[in-house]
Amino acid sequence: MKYEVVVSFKPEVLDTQARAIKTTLDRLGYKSLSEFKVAKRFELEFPKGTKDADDLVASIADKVLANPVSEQYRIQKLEE
Amino acid sequence: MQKITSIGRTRVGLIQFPGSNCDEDCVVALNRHFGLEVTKIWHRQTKLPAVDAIVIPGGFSFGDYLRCGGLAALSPIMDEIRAVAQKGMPIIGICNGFQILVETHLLEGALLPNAHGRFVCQRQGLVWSMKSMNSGANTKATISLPIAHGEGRFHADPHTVEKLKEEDRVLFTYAPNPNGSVGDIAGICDKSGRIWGMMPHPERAMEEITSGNEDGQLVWKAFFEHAMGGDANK
Repeated sequence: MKYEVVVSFKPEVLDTQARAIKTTLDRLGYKSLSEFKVAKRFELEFPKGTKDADDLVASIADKVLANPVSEQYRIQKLEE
Repeated sequence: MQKITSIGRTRVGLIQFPGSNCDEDCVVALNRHFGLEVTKIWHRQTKLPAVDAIVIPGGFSFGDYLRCGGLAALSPIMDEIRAVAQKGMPIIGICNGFQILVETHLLEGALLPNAHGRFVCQRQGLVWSMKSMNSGANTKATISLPIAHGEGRFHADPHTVEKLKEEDRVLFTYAPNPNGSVGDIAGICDKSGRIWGMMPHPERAMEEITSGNEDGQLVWKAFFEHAMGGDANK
């Protein structure tokens, strides 16, 4: 069972990394680019049939991978 | 400026993480300047020795992996820190120590990469405002302390910032703002006034010859006096 957790800053929080990359992209001529975002991606794998895997991933994302004060996350199951 | 020689016999516990790098500075500041006994405590320990106050020093715990202070906040010793915090033990987190305290949720907010994207390492003007636990009197002072951080931009939602101000819990504000912190916030305390978090480094401003002033001494003295409930010389 495989999951991915993607963590990014909340929309209202300034992401300096995304801004720096976007500035360079602008300079390179990618002018039509209107929005650019950066996120951290985590991959988590459990042995097949792990009963509470969904809950474990949610708990890990909530308690460790993301800081609820400044970040948001989404979870996707990649493999059953 | 009055020379401070003693802040009592407070026994200080100093938490060390892999990547802490202001630990020895704090030991020297407290031991040499105030004669305090400082016990270093490795983050993997699960029990605190007999101490009266906790210092969480600056540095780059766990290489700032995941988030600044994020992994340190989950170290075994932090369960114990949460427990003694509830019992009212004074705790001060400096720089990375502040980041660890917000990640532990003992203090509100988050510390994010500086708005301009650069590391700042400079002397920093600060306005220091504090309400006395005993008299309730407000004191305000302008001081200068070194700052050295890449991720010191204090962030909290507008409601939290308002609450911090209303409850007189913004201890230090930057003048001028070096990193884009909301409300110019450089340091805060918890509701009890016993848990302090600040980005500036008082341990680096102990001697005129190395730091240009001794403002750090004033901060340490105030922390111990204020956080110990005005009874530093017990």
